[in-house]
Amino acid sequence: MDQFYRKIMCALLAGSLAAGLLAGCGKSAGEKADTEDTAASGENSALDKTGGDGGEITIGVTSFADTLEPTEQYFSWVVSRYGVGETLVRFDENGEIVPCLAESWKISEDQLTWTFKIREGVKFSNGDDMTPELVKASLERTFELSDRAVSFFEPASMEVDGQNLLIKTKEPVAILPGSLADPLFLIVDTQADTDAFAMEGPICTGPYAVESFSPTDSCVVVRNEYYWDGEVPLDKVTLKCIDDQTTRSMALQTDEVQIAYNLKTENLADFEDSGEYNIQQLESLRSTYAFMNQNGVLGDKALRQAVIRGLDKETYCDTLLEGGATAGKAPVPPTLDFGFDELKDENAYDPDGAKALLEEAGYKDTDGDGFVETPSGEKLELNFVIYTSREELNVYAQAAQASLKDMGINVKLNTVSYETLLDMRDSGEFDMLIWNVLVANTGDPEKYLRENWYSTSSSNQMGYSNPQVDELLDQLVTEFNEDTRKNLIMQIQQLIMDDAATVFFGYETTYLFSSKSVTGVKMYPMDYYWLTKDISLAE
Amino acid sequence: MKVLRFLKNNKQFTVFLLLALAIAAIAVFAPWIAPRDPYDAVMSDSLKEPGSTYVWGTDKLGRDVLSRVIYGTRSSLTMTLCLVAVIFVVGTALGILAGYFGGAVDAVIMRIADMMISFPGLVLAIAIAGLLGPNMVNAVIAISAVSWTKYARLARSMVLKIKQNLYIEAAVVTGTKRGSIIMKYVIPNMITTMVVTAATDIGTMMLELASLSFLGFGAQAPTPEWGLMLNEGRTYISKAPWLMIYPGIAIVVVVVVFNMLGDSIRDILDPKQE
Repeated sequence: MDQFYRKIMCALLAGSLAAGLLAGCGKSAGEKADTEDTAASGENSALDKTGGDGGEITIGVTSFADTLEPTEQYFSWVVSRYGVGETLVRFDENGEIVPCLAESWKISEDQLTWTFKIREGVKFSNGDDMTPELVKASLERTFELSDRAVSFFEPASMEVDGQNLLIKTKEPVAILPGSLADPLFLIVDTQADTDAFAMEGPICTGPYAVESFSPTDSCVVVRNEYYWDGEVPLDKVTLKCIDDQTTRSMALQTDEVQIAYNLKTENLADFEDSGEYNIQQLESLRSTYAFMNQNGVLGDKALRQAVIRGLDKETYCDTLLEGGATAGKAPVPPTLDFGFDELKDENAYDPDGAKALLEEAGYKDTDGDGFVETPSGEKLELNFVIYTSREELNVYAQAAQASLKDMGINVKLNTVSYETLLDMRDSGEFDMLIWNVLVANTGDPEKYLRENWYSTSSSNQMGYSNPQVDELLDQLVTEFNEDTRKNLIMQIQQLIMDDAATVFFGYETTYLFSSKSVTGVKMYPMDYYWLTKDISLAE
Repeated sequence: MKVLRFLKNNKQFTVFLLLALAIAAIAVFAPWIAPRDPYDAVMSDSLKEPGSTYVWGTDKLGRDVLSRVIYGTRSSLTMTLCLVAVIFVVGTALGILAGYFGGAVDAVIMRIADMMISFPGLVLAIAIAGLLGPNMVNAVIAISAVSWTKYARLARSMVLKIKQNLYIEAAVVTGTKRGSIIMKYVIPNMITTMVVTAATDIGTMMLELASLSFLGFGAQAPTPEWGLMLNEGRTYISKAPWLMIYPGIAIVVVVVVFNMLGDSIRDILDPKQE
């Protein structure tokens, strides 16, 4: 009898559970239908208002921004990518500098004064006019709040002359217009409540304005009614943060998002055969490399050389990443003509040489655990910090770990979020730290070289210092002649390579997958521009 | 003979005990069973399909999936058994203290326990593992911290029940020391139930450890651990499904075996069943 009751109870319980589950599903389905309804009606009302166009799309993105304050870290990139912020000049799809908020610019005879003619009739998304005074105030704000700004150039003074903005520098700065194209210098309305920029989004001049922002979830942008450069086609765009590559790929396949950024070769298989997607591919200007912290055990050059020689970067790029990257050796990728093929790499892949080098420098396995100890007999464990939002970094790191294990070098992987990685870099808590960056963010690698390898740069937390490199970098700043610049950049690269300062893993090929239901999606070599005014729904 | 008869009378128990022993043997003798070194990365053989050279295929770095699954038994099994042992000992001990002494001790221990269960278990475990830093040992600590309460509550309620028995009163009246009362009269009367709970928990705990590893808070690369392997294979699910299928099957099989073993032990030990 007892048994019988128990069975009945079990059945009842299971039944109620199942019912609960079904109810749950039903409810969420219902809710979804509701939101779709409201979305549809919202669209209709928008249609009524603007007469014909409109629509909404969702874009799957990876995001690293805790806030939308453009002067913080690299968060201005996000503001620019989301179609919110614009700069005085911008890069076109060939990487050439073209006018944006400035109509034209010229340099004085003495090469110390740049004159930018500010475009007339531009309004911020709150309706304020963008005057040259406000442009000046915005740039001053950037220099005041961001310690990265002076690494581009240091203005001696900025003056407004009618519709012109005059930027004076103490030394000639060759890359000044390109620098102003960096999202860091996007123009914000300093008359607006600047404290609210962080969470509510800055007031800028782009085709879209921020409606709501949630750091790890999504950012919703709506049409900027005051946009200066023609009609903005979409009413509303949701930029959904999907850090996980597989999830992002699936979101595109289920049409949850219509465009997905940062997908890789692995995802090609999912989209290639279907005719419903546009696939774009670009040999990028991005370089993936790992800083080696010279304030720790990697201060020993022999160990650094052994590490670099122990890494089979060709195989990583060709086999593991299936051609999703070109093997690296130098700071600047071969896509830019800065003598990649002429540079001599004395630390090419050479596992036996690496082992011999370690042996010679006194790294021996004294306690028989299969890993070498330092010459002073301490355990050697390299702390290799990587971040999660780029899947290929994990492949590089794990492959490096496996390769170095063969050398007898113990590598511990530490996978963190990008935000944590930035903090760890700034506090120097790493032996190796992965970095993936746009090489020519000013249209030229000068800034990139200076930021990472100049001895006193705030981003150089690895303790790399070579007076010769510093000197050449200083020369580069004031050099306007293209050929001399190329020559200088080659010399700098060679020095960095000879010092075994950094592991250059590879230069990635970037992909952009988008549904055919949207048009106007374009890839830019400088990936500052994701959502542009050209993106609209296909008819 | 006695043992044999016992095994014959409890067929279900026998079958699953043998299977569990087989799993344990795989863990112990992994170096002899596994065809290759689980850490040996042959990068030219990246993502090879299961075939004659690699029976269960290879992963992204060209490591043999079969060998990794076999070695994965080691970490999964040892960590799970450690975890269950820790929560069993800590939870039971605290429960007995709370139940037997009552008053302030009881209040403090049980309120801490209440605090622990007022969060969803795995979420709190993720938070703790995140704070301590991701590795296997910290994963065990994190899950222990959220799982001991179950044992403490169970032990406490049983002690409260046992305390009302006449033999305890008799022991107190005859001047038996507290320690002896607990060791001789309380624990023997409750230990079977506790053991049964622990045995049925093995499967669940194994899953929780695998989940933490899957989320990146447990085992770290390149350790062969099933949860971690699932996570690594996730990126290539459409291209190389074997990366997820085999570790997945391993988890299912081992968890089912230990759950069934726990059930059989309960059937044998639970006095109510007789």
